[in-house]
Amino acid sequence: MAKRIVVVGGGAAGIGAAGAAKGTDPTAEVIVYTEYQDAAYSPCGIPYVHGKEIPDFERLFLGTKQQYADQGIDIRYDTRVDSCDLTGKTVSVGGQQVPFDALVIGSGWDYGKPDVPGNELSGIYYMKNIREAMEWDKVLDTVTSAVVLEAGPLGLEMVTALAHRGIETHLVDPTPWALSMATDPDIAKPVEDSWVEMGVKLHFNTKLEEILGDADGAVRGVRTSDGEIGCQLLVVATHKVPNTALGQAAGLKVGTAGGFIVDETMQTSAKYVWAAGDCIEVPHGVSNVPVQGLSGSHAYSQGKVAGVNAAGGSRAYQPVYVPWGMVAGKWMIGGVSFSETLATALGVPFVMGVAQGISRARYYPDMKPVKVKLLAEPGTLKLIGAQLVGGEGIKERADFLAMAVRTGITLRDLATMENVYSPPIGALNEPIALAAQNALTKL
Amino acid sequence: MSGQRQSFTRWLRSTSEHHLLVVAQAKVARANGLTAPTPKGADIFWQKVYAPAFYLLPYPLRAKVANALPGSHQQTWHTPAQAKGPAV
Repeated sequence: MAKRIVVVGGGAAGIGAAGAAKGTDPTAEVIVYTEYQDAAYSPCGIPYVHGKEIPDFERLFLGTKQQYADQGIDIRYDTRVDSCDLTGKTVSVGGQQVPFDALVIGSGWDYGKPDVPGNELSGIYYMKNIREAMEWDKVLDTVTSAVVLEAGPLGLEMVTALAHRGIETHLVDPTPWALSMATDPDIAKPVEDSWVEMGVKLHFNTKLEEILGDADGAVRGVRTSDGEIGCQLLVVATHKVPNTALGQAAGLKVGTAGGFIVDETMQTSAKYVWAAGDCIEVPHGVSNVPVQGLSGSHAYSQGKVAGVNAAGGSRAYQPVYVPWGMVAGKWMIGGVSFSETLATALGVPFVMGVAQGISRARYYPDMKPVKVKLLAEPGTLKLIGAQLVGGEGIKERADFLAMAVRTGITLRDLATMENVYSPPIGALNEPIALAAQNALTKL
Repeated sequence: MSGQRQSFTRWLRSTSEHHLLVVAQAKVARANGLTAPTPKGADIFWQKVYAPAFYLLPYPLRAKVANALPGSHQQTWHTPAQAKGPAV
């Protein structure tokens, strides 16, 4: 009899798991339950449709429903899993008990809901689901002013998107600079300056106190610690909260980051149950402290590991170093592991180097600045973090530096690194090497 | 590990992490010529008493405490051995 693998969730983790399970055991029956009308699209692309860089939402779908059916993956759309019985190995769906041999949970995340009066008004946009985004995109055509709450990664993308769209955009954030949980003010500064050039109003060190509504129950503004701001739309871009309710009710253990506890195979605290994506926590490669709420690429990779193991194969995941990057304002910004701020917060000792370089030969058209900031462990000089801001080449450098942190590369290695020199794509001096050399001069 | 203890440790970590980050942001903000919010109410305890006490502890001790909290890091995670030098 074919093995039945049930997957809860149709996002990157769930679809990654389903595909990997089917690939590992083609005879397995793979059923994916998703509460939504769609599966396997790129929610990360939504801000760029809102910002009109991508012309339509259809391009965000990774595959058609028929393609998944043809692969033998049975996706049950608009279907909620109500509960799991891990002892009886069944899930409850619409009052029916569905038996499974292996269960993969990819239940994702929710936004932290603002705990202020008015949070039930209409006109509050939690950007996540593509069908809802399609409807909100029509609303954006009618909106002249909007507030984005919190300058996390999604907030940065939405501020940029709304400004591109010509909407008067206010960014409200309780901290002193943008993306302050991941980066430093000198790295965020060019982004903030470019937002101001685009007409964005920045309200840092500012707390949301109330969402103000009109007589029809729609948002008309927000009251903050720094006064009122009129708006027709509030975009909530608060931190990701792991959605663990289903698994916790079934008895799965969660850790201090709030995600399901898993091992390197993505197995949870229960036999026959794996989990992946934003509902789990994994150890950070430098600090060993579990972290949660990573990128879509992490979720997909974890899903594949979970799917392979759920189907009887063998694959292991690794601790994470979390390279990240994005376009914000008129700049690209990125990094890996610790910023100066995060290392300071955790009391991690570090030495630091900073350099301002360029992306191409100085005489080549469209040459862009590239700023690099490196953090290393004192003594060993092993890299523990990096941040970058520039006009191009940020993603590739962030990926490279993530491997450098993972493999124990030192500042001395980076200071003497070889680099590609070709006028249209690379300057004589690599900015990473310059930053490492700067750090060494301070020792 | 009971669910109740996990809930407490999660609260402890998230509260501690939040306030340590706020203190660090204020420090880095000042170094970069920016201002940061002044703590009020219960935040004063966490940012003016807890955070300085936390930093007085030696880093290895702090790391040991963090690693003792329940979580995925206490499960099996093999780090592949890194081969040194070039491939050939």
